[in-house]
Amino acid sequence: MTTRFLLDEAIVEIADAAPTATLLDHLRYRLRRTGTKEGCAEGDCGACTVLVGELAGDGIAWRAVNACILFLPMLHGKALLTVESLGAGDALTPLQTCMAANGSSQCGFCTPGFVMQLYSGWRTGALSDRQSVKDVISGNLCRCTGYGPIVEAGLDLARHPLPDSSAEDAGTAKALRAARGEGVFRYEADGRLWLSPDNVDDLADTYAAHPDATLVAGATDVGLWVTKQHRDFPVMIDVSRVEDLRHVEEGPHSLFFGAGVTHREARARLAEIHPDLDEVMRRFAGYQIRNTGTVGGNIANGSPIGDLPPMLIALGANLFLRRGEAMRNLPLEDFFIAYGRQDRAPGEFVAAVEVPLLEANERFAAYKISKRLDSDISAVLAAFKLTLDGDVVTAARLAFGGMAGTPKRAAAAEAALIGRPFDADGVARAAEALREDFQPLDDLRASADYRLQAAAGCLERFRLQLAGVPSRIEEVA
Amino acid sequence: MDETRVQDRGEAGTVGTEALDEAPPLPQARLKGGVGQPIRHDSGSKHVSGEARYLDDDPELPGTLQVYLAMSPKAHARIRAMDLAPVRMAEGVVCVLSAEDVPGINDYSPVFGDDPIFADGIVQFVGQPLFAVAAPSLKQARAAAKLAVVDYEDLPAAVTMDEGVAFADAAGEDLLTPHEMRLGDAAAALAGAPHVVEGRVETGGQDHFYLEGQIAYAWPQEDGDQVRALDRFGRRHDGEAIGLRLGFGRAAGTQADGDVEAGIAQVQRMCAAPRLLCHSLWCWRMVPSAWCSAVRCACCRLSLPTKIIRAGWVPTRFTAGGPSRLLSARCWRAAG
Repeated sequence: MTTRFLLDEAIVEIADAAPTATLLDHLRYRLRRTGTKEGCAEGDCGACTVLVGELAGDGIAWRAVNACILFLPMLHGKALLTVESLGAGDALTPLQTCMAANGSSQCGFCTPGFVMQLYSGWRTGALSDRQSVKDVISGNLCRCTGYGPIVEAGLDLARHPLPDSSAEDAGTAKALRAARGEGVFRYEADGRLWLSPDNVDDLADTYAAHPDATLVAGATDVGLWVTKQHRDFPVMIDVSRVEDLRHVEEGPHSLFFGAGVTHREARARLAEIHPDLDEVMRRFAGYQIRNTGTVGGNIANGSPIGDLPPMLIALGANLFLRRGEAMRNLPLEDFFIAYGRQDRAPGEFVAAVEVPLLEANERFAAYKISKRLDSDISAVLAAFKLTLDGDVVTAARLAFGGMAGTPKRAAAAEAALIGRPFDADGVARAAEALREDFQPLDDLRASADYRLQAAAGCLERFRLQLAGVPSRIEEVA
Repeated sequence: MDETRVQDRGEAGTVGTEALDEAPPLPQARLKGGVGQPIRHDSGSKHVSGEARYLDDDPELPGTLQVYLAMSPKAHARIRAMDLAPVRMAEGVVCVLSAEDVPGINDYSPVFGDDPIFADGIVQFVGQPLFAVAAPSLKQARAAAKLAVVDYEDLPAAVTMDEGVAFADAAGEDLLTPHEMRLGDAAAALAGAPHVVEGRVETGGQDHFYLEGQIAYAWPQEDGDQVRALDRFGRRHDGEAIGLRLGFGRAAGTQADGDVEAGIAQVQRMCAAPRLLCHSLWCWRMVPSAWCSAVRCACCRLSLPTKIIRAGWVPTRFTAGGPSRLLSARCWRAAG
């Protein structure tokens, strides 16, 4: 089959590009739509931002994504808008006029990415106040204009009424529905195979038949295996079209996140559990990455610095894995065996994660420590859940990212807290115990000693917070 | 020790704390050139619509070769031996260049004369270019570069300012030429001050490159002794910067038009073609130019038949003994 998608209402058909060819290269070098730029080729700078639309009811759900790490077959059955889709010459859109009038470009190289990102924020109603504009552009880097005039342009834009694009979207939806195929989408080119099932049973069968295949969901990590590590993948299975994995379901005491739920979708539901989850997710990668990256991917890749696993481990999450017809579950912390090694058999995939809601006698906090506030990898991610009986700690779950080869609980520190009040003395004992639990690495993000101090500092901050003492920088600055 | 260069700014004035609250004075008369006036960026509309064209947005000439720069994985090491024979034998490789191929001065630095184009016997930072490989595709060039066998002898590395100073002290040298900027008599002012606060501030500031691909594209002119090179904005670097630096006598045209709206002098400095071609870029592209008739290469020490070229310095001029080929080079920073 060929990869087919809509670009400005016209069908683009691809038959010969390798499955790991990126959308950015195709736009720039095949279609010669060169307004979309390559800055970093790793989903960090946002210069390649484009909008991808998917069927959602009668309309289209648009989201901004990084074209540099999006594989072409992932666009199959979707609609695409690039900066060329907006205004040009004398017929600029209000957004472009705001940007041009505000002096929001200097060298102009990051500008098309900012335009597309702000456009997506506008279209989805995400722009309101200054902070909202900053959040929307968290995944876009500018290195000469300065963010000031760009944020001003975003604020200008927020005052413009949303365009009514429902008629246009309905037309796009009709075209997508007509083009939509059923079952496993199979794309083969350049001697490499791409398989993309649309339901979980087909996924289980496909993976069982190709247990050596590489699974890809949002490609926010796998994309870099191609663009940065130049690895080759003979068979890839795309799980991003598997509808069954893209829902959040409510249980009586928990939420079930399908593995294909994006970080952006997850953030809204995690916020219901605790505001710290919302805040960490606000700072988790950049906007475009959160639009694409998935809960399942962040867990399954086993990274010691993924932000979700420590938070979910602290909450007591259960991981559901499927292989063929067989489903099993295990505590999330047990999934991570060692650096680069997870408890996942060939042909087995992450299907869902169950996240318990907080009980009345439970206290929770999560802190992300990174050099840069937005869109940065954590030096330490600390997440804590304490169960209290009166003021005595009866159970503790302290989970950390960035402290070991895997996301990991601090068993000794937990033991130091249990059976006594969560007071300064308890925190001091737990801080000492953290040195038994972890021998962190020295690396570019932080020294081992800094990591240990920061981990202990987070615990102390949690204590102060529970005691009602202002402890966040916004509270004390 | 070098003599200290002193820049004396004269007497210090007195600034009261109230000055901190004052708005800067506005010019009374309207200044020429629009200073103080909001003026729309000439290219603003093209930037926001994606119509503004950068070098990598233009189609390549047919046959453009891609060049990859192999880089040092070591912060500081002596290169005992560097065997590039396997690189030269690799599929698609058209030519391989290293320090010994630079006919002029192996240096692109604008001031201190201490930035080799290619490492020569020693590497001084991770990412320092060792050699360049040209092939029809970037993939081939990159794969070939991996075949080099480099034997390093690790040397102690200074990666912080303090370590750098300590190394220099141990060698009885200054880290940089001493330079003092003086405003009034600081020592006397401190001695007479009611409060003295001591401390040390480190900013972690870095000199960064722009976001866009570091790219240059060079191709030969009709007489073959001029090669036109463009940087990422499409500015011309025609002769002087490349030619003089590399030992070619003739400068053709200006160093750079400088009419692109980057607006920052740093760009000019960083985009001097040799820098682009040799250091800030990870790879280049070159064109065997069928449209160019045979050209003799002044720096060619080895002429291989027909399509393979052993060129002294790619972006400037060169070619083959047989039908002329390679006359264009294009550089760009690729993904890794």
